[in-house]
Amino acid sequence: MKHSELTGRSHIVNAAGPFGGPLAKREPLVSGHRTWAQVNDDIAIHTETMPTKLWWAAFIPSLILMIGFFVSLGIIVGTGMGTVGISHPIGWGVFIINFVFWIGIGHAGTLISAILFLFRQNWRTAINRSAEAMTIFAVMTAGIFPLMHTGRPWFAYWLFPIPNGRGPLWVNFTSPLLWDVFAVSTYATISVFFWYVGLVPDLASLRDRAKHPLRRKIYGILSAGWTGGNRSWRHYEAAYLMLAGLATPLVLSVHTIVSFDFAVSVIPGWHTTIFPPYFVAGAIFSGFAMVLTLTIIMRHTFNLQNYITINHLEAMAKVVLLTSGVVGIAYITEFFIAYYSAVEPEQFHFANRLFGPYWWAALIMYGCNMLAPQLLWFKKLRRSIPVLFVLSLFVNLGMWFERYVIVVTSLHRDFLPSSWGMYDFKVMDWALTICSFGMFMTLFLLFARALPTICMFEVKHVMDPEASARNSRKEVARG
Amino acid sequence: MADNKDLKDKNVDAENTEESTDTTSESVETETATSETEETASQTEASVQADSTDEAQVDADASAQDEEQSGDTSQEGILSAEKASREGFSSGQATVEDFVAPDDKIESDMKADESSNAQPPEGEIDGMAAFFDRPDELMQAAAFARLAKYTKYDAFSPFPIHGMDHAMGLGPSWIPWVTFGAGTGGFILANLLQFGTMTFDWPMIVGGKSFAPWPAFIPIMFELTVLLAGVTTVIVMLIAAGCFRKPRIIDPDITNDRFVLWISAEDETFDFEQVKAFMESLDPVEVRTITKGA
Repeated sequence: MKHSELTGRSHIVNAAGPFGGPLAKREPLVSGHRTWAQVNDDIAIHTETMPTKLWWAAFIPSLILMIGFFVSLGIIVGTGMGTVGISHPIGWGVFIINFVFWIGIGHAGTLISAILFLFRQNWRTAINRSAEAMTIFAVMTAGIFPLMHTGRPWFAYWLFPIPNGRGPLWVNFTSPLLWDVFAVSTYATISVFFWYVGLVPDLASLRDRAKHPLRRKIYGILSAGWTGGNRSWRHYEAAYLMLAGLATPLVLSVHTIVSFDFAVSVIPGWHTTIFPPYFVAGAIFSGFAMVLTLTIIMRHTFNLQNYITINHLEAMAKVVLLTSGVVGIAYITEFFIAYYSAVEPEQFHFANRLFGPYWWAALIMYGCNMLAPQLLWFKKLRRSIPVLFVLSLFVNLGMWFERYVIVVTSLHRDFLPSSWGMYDFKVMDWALTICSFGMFMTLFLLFARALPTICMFEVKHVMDPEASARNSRKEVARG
Repeated sequence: MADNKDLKDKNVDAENTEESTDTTSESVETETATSETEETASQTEASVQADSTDEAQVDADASAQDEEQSGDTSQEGILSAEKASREGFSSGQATVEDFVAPDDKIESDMKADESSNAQPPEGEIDGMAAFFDRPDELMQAAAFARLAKYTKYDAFSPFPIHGMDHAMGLGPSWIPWVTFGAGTGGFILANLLQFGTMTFDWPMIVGGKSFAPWPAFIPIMFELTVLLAGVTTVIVMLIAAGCFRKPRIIDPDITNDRFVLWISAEDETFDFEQVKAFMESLDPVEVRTITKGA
């Protein structure tokens, strides 16, 4: 470990507390004895120099996958929906699985930027920028899928209540599918605004550092003329708090509404009241796993080990463990309620989930989401980066399969055995699923190249002024 | 904090030593606590005290001023501030009192400063900036600028400083009202949209629900409330923060690690000599005159 001085435990100083008792002091959030000026240097340097080989090694495959994604979308639009495997009775296949998966990924970003902000969790400062970027790119990727799912994406504007020449015939506001349109578009918009507000002071930093006039011009426009006076900060902080307050219920509402798409129907396995909290916890779970994956890669690629320390990774691992527990309880509750409800199709569904033809998907889901994260009870494993990385991939996989199980096993055998069927992934299903990661990763890598990946001003805020101020090292007698 | 305190305590008059040290040790603890928790108004007060360690009296008077006592009291407070003999005040022979009444000339020696540019530089002055290295120093300086009755001043920092609003005498931001108003607007819009289309314009029974199925309208009411509130808040905030125009960049390192007290030449009481002396009395790293177009 590079910074072995971090232990993850508070430093106890005896007889230093307020009443002569012990004083517990947390470890600093930024290791390596950085100063404020070094924060800017360390983080902004990646936007100012040519990208590293590691970056290219990640970017080129991502770009190829992204191109593949758009080609697959083109094929589906050009040739038709028959190119993917969805058919009767499984009408919600690859599109809805990936939509729910990607929307869920986004939730961790808002959790980190809004909910952890309200809870005053200062460790969020190191990861909130990249997590919010992740949110936006995940929502962008997710948004494509329901549009394709409509079958005629060129009529996507029909989803909005726009006056039209058919009456006007309005959209159906009582449908959860329409709620989804509003929820996801609101979520995307607010995420972008939230992200931008957090970026403004850092964009001003980049502007003031810029040597090239064009660069200064571009970041000058992006930073909207921010100067950092307290008469500006006053409103800034109030607005940030308001946005956090708005985004907190919003993030809970989005996956709640996504779960309504399922829960409002009468399909066994979907028609349950547990779905909203279960979906929200699952979203945060999968999102945090994705944040772990990305930050572990990012801190190595961009040398950010001093900012995203092992303590940060451990804190994220704890959230993963907690949400894994919530999701696990939801899984168990589903089974219990199915048994206790005495509703035969419901009981059949859960037996079919474990022992039917899709037993392997359920096994991956329960194994990766419920059992594997239990390793995180051990502090040693929580602080081992290889373990965290592999585990985060497992959780990503498990959460993708959770959506697969929910969508496919529920639909393939419902009430009437005569209408049962199977769903097999065709080439286009695989292409869409795998290549969507290309779009997500390409956008994320471009972000990491062009914008500061860590919120510099918030990191400075949680650093000790004694050690990080200008001239603090020299201890010069001023005046 | 401890080193800084020791340094400054050396300059505290004997009669003030006991009092100010007591205040310091008490308020330092408070500040440590506030770094973790949300700052209430009283804690902010405490941290202001902690920052101006050597002048318990000034702070007492500053808080007295908060309670909107008479102007005379604050005048006396400033006089006693002088007695507290800050490091900078004693060397520069300039007192805050000099700047309260802008018509008064600084009578005695600016000799110490004559070596530096005592004359206004060429070009139209935009304002003056005093540079600091640390947020607590800036907060202290801003509190003095407020006491000296400057109005067109600002405290520039790379990150928001808790307690600065109080030090500058700024109330809470009005942004939350904008959020509330816009949110209400979004809520009303969602109601008009949903009831207008589904209840009045083309009533239809869908899924056995009534013509006005208000529970089914709640999700979109919520979403539009959040959407309008969030978007409006951001835009209004950026406008209120003075964005969307050419910025006056006093120093490129303000967004890095420098803390600047800025007094604009637009201030009614702006006088080059006085502002300069005032700023130098604050013990900054550097005082700089900014000319227009610089």
